Amino acid sequence: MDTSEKEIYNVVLIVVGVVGITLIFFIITIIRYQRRSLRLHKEKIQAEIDTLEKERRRIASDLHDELGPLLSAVKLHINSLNTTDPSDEEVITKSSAYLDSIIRKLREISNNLMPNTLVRKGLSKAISEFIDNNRGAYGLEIRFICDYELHLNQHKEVNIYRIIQEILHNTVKHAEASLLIIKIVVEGGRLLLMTADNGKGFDYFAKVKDNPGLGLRNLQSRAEVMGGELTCQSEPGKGTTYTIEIPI
Amino acid sequence: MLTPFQQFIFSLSIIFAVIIGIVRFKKMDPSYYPFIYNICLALLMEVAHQVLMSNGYSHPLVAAVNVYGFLDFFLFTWLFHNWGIFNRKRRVFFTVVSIFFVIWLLTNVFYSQFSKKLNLYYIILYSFALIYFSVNAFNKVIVHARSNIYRNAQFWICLGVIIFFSFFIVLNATRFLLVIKPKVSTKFWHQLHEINVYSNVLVNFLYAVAVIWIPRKKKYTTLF
Repeated sequence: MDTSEKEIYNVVLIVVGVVGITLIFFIITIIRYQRRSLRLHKEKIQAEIDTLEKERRRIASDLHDELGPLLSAVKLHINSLNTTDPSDEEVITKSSAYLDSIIRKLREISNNLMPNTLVRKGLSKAISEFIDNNRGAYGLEIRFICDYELHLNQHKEVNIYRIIQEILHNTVKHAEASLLIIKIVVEGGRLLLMTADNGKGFDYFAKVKDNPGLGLRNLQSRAEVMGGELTCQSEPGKGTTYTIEIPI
Repeated sequence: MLTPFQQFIFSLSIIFAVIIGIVRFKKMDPSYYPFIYNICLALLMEVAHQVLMSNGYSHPLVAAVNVYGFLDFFLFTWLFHNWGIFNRKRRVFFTVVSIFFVIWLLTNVFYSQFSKKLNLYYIILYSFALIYFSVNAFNKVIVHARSNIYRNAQFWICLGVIIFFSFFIVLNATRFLLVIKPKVSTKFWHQLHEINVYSNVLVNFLYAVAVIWIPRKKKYTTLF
């Protein structure tokens, strides 16, 4: 190499070195910021979900433990009234029926907010019960397939239960489907929750880009908090399929 | 200084990514298939390069490099399209590929005549385009990735593309500028090419890591 070639080569080496160092600095900085932002994001979602669940549990407990007995007491008192007037008797019977209906509705609301079965008998039983309660309602056939006895920590169980609730809610509200299938598979240290409906479907990417809506965001947040990954496959006219991979 | 054979051995480092890719092919997310096709093609190209160069077939070698330039661009653009860089709009993807095909054709006809010399105009242009797509995809990963970024194949692939094509542009721009110099020694060319060899080895290992972290095919319930 002559002198001018050596000079050119040195310049190229310097340029390559500068580009290399800049790239390394750029990448390290980006990764550090990403990790920090990810940690803060997860903490924020976790705090929001914890607050929400705590509040739901409190309301469910207040409804079930305080309002429930009070209404039962009122019903007892009304039924203990002694009257011979037929119109009064009719009022008592009607009031008693209303009270029964209120108590039943109260239990239902309380159970939706925090199902007793989930706390006492675990996830699979709670999902089965939830599906049994909703089977046939809204003209939607629901099939639940799970060959495993699921034993997860309570946070994960609550999150998975909420995800299923949300998916069912979305299917009823938007999908116009006649069939929803929910399947849980455990393999290789992960839990796969898969759902599919035969509804009208939607353009997932367009929806996410425009405005994902509270339901989809909720699904994503709950999947993220568990360290899982949510995948949605949907096209207009081809139904909707959700796959959620959760490490266990 | 590395001998041409040593350079060839270094360039074979892509084989690790290819082997891992072939082993995992059936289980991986199909959106990554263009990447696997690309690294297989790169390996084929390295072997073809060595065979043609050692037998003195300079024109077929230049033609092969020029054709590979377009295929490389097409496969990477297909990969970026699968990742949603063009907002999943097929029309945008086909438009981009068509524009680059026309540029590739024109520069080959008017500048390099397919096999006479390397199509440096096109090489520099498509390198810039791939860096642009990669930076976009990289930013998307940084913003949206909610899991460990070191286990994200997109992250490693984008990093590899940015590093490789940045150096590639620097070297090819130098090569392009030196065309006007009447005589450049062989030693200079070899030393210049050596920088590319080292960046290639680094990127090949990044690609191997990327292939390891390519997500598995999603199991969708087959119900209807």
